[in-house]
Amino acid sequence: MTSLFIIFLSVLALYLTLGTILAIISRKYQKGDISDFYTSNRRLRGFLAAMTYAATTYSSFMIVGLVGFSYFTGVGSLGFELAYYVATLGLLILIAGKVWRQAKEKNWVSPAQMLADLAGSRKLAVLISIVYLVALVPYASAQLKAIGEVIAAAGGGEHYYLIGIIIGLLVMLVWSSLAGIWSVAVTDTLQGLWMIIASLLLLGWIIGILRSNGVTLGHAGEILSSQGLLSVGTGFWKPEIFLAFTLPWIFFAVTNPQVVQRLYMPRDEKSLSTMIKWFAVFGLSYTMIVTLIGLLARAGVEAGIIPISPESKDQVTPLLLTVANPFLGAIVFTSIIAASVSTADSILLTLASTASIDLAPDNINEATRKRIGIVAILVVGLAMAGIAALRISYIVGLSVLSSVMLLGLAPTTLLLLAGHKIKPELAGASILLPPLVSVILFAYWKNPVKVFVYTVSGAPISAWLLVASTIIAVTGIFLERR
Amino acid sequence: MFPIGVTVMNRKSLAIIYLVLLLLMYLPLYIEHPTGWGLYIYYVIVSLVALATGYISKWGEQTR
Repeated sequence: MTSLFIIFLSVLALYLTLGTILAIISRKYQKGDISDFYTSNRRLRGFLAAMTYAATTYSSFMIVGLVGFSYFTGVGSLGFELAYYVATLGLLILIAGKVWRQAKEKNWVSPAQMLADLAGSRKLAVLISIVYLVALVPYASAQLKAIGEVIAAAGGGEHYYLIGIIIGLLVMLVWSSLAGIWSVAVTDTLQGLWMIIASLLLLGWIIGILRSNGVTLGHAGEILSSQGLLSVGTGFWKPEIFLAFTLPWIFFAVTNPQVVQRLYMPRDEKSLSTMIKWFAVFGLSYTMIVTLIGLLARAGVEAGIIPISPESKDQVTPLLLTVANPFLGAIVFTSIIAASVSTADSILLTLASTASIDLAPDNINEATRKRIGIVAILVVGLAMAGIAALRISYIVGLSVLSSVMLLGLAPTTLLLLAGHKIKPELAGASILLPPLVSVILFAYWKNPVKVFVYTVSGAPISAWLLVASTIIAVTGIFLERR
Repeated sequence: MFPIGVTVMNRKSLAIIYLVLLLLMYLPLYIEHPTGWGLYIYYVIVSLVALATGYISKWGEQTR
């Protein structure tokens, strides 16, 4: 065992112990009913709501994927992630209040229930639940895969991969089932803080090492400019690629059930505002820090100061950590696990809520519904771990594709929230089109990333799918009026 | 405060502000943009305006 691995295991043990203690303490807030288990019965205070929103949104993609993207493709990565940020902030400010009020009035628990209620069709909830499962199980599996990769990288042995998956699965199951959203929200707060502090420490280390070698921010800018990494429009970030990356994500706040459900949770409108405020601060800070890590690491490598030579995007952060101080490496490695767990257990709980509310028969009592939820947590969690354990190369690609699969929910959700009535059959068709086309193209090409970035007449497939879904949903409005 | 303080009280104006800010994220792809750290600073400034708009609208409270 290397000294890094021993320190990493100690820090990991600290994180797991703290999280589990918090999860156990959070049980005292639980009231026991199903709405409380999944949505806290709208009792979350603003800061807690903000941290669970942020930690659920920002997965290990940030500290691994986005660092790598910034390292290899430059400042366009910041533009892509901040386009998501601006759109999400706008959507939250415009629709969160409406969703929160209606959720309170109608006692919504799951996001599929919300859409089915607004469209006036129970069958729609079943369809949406299936779309959620198809799109989000690979997404959550990719998070477990990231945990396996981190533990394998820190341990220096491939045999640690499966141990990582098992640790991730156990943490996810325990933290989500102990007190439902209460244990998830409390542990998300710990994890969100851990993520941002770890990234800040890593950035501080890189700035320190650059400065001690006489490389200022200005010099780093010159180095990056000479590599074409501080401009967009040419190189990797051509307009159609930027659009392909941003389009599915700018609707994330209304298409991904794990974040839509979080709009139900604040205790009052003031807490909802506090939630949006702290998410806004967290999101901007974290995005800036993470992209700076990637860019400055690249400047350090080009200047011959940081001795790493990554060959792919996902190698940048792990390789950086192997040359950093072992304590820093351990803290950041653990933050990758925290980011993965906080996203995966939130998805798991949301999918369980869908099983309890939308897929379960109508004529069952609340206790049975809750039992179905617990069984769903176990079954879906094992399915996620099983897929991650297979270590299929395209799982990460499929998780990227999840945002395209869920894109069909955007027009229907926004139109229903705006008060329009949509013929349920056409709402269903609008929602189903993107996942159907994505799955067919994936089966044909065997390459999920190609589905994501492929362009037709200069626009990515996701843009065409969004246009088609919107036309179908709008047609549904006219047909409903007749 | 300044004109934006009035417009953000209105849901439609708020939607337009955020749409314009989003479009500003795409603008550097099509026009000549600043060199050095200029583009990084540009993206951050646009995002800070989004944040400030949220603050002035009291995070949407004014439009609820």
